[in-house]
Amino acid sequence: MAEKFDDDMLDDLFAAARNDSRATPSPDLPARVLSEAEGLQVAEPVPSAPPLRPSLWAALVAAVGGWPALSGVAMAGVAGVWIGVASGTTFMQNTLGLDIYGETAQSYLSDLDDTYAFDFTAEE
Amino acid sequence: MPYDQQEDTPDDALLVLYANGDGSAARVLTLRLTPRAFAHAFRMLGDRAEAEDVAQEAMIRLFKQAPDWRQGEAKVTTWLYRVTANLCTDRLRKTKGVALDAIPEPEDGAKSAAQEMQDRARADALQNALATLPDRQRQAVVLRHIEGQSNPEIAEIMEISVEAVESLTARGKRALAQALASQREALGYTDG
Repeated sequence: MAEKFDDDMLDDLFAAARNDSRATPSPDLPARVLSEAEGLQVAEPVPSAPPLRPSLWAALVAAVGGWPALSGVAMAGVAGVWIGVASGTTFMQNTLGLDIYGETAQSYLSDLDDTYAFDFTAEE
Repeated sequence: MPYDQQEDTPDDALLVLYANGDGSAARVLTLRLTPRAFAHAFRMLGDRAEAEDVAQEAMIRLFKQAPDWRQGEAKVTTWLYRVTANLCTDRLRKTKGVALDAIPEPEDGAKSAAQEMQDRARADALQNALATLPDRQRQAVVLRHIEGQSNPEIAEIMEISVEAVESLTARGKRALAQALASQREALGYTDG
């Protein structure tokens, strides 16, 4: 009985506390909070996404001076092959260059190295 | 997003909008949550000026947390109640004791003078009795019976089990009834 009375009294007191106007903040408080919140937004903009990490190939290309330098290297390689072929036996110890460069001559791999030739006596 | 469309937006979505630079999200969150932080701090501390300081600090911490807020993990109000209560506990440890005489007069003039006086006397008596409880009991009783939080929500706020919350609120209510026993008649409660 006394417990029920205490519960009823406390429920009533809790309701009085919920309706207590002193538990409502002054109008200044939300204004101060909002001012600080807006200040934080200005001071700390959202960071942009970090730049993507370059790939290994892109890093190598950049290391030799970028695409213009790389095209120069490719051109030098092509020129080297052409000089080798066009010079006949000056730079090559066989006539392969002349055979490729010439219009009528036929070229065989066996001219370059004997091991490429068929050995017809091996199976007998 | 326009201000009037954000009235129904959940707290955590507003926090993300705020972190992305949405100005009206800050306004909605401030108006929605500052009164709750203040009311909880006032009921824990019994002092309006102290409660305003605590509520402001708790709200600023919430806004600072916004860029790192992970949606769906915890309720914003749970986080706010926890931070507010922790700030109150820090202040209570420093000052130990609440100067209820310092509470200013209420501004509400709508009720009759007699009713207002009785409500005020009852609220004061409860606040005095709450001040006699251990901090954790007071926090649990305020959250359950005045703020209207559920036991699982209080368990999350206080980082304890639901059973522990039930124990704290039961012991708190018994202690309150005992503290108020001598004032029953003066507060207008008669047994029988």
